[in-house]
Amino acid sequence: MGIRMAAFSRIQLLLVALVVVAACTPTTTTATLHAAQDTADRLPGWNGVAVDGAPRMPAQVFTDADGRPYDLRAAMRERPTLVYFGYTSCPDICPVHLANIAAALDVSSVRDSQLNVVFVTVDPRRDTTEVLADYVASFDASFTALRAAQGDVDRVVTELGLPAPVIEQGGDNYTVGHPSQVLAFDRDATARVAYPFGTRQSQWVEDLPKLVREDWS
Amino acid sequence: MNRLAEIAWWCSGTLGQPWRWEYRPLVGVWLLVAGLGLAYVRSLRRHAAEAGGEPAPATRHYARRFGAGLALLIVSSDWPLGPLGAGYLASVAALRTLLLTFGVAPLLLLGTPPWMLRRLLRIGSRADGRPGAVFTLVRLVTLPWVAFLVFNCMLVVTQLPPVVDTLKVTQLGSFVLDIAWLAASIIMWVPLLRPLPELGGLGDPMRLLYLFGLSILPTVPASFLTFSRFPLYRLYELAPRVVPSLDAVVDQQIAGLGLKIVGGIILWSVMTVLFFRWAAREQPGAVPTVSWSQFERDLERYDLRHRREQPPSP
Repeated sequence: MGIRMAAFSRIQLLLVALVVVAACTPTTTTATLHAAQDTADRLPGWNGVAVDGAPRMPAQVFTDADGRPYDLRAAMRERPTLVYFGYTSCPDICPVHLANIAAALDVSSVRDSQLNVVFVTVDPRRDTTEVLADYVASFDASFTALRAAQGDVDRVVTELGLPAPVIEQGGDNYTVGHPSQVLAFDRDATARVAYPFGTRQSQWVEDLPKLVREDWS
Repeated sequence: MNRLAEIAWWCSGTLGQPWRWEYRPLVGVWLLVAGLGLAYVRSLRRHAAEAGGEPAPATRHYARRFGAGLALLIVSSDWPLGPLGAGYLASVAALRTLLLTFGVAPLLLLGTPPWMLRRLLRIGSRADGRPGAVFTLVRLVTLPWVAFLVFNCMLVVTQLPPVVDTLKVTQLGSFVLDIAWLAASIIMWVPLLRPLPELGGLGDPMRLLYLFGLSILPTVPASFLTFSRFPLYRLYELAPRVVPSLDAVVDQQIAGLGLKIVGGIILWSVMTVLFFRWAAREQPGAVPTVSWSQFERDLERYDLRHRREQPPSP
């Protein structure tokens, strides 16, 4: 009886130890993402980071959600532009980025006419003009959605110094690896600030007026 | 192998991982519940053996409540509420807080027989029978004003964005937050439920005042959640969307209103019941009615059953 009880206590101790040890296991994805955000080198006075080499938007005529040609570099002359390369089936980062920008625009003093927010799909196979139109409208009707042939999109992304999109899983429900930062361009179509994933609504509200003023100092 | 690698031991924030409606048990939750359940059953059996093989009549009553508390602990901490609240939706985190505070904590406390509580409190007691460190500590933290302070401080601390964003993203941190909150909730209920005479408790008017205070102070953190222009928690703001139409601010507002309104309704309901019971007892000529099961529980509460069963001294 005594031996059974001792064995029982040991089992209980083991269970408790398992819980504690198991609970120590960090959630790798989360830890990595937070670390990346915290160690990012921010531009002084901004919530984004400097873009290496300040690349210019490559010449490329895209197609907008209405099926019309859209010269993004030419459009950038009219107003500062935020560009994000994502895809509508993106399960995590894309909707969070777009929702946060849309929410920040709602509460900031910046008007839609002062800033162009552009979503360029890296998955033109699935993201037709109709799909794109519905997708961006679900965040903000003023957002611009663009598509081009896969090779053209890959070239634009690469020339901007970003990693080229990668199709990560096979089948119809594939996911696409793509740059997670939003690039802010000035009226000369030069990328000035990159906003990594993790930029919060309150930070967008701080930076949007500065982007509109092109207050790069 | 991939499935094994995906096993989560405790619910924690999983920023960057899209939510999937696919059952994934949280091993730590089940181990904790199994450990508590086994310890409880073992203690009941030992107690019954000491009393000559017959369990006390009130045992089933306690066991049902304890079992309900454990079941609610699984519901509130296992998939889906556990991981949803830990890493995706502030509103579900608020729901978990309500379940732990107003469900799990009182049920576990009401489900623990007084003799079992006494046995736990005797841990570390001295050979001469004087109370040990455990009893002294429990007696201190369950003093009504201390319990009130502990609960409200814990409420504020566990809702602070730096605390949530730092702790909830690891399984250990999330585990610590949950256990700390459960412990604070149990401490909060002791002066109200008065499980042992030696731990003291509040009289009827003071119980009403205590509950009133509990219903007012949480308004402060709940208001921050409800009226903030921006999401307060990075964890929930940057989490992949579970419901596409539910943005982070609305989710946070639901959390704040839920904590305030649902928590308030529960507390005021308890106050109402206590008030009418108190008023009925205070009626001139009122005869207190005590059910047999209540009488049995009171015998245990005042540790009288054991004395009655002692053989008469020669």
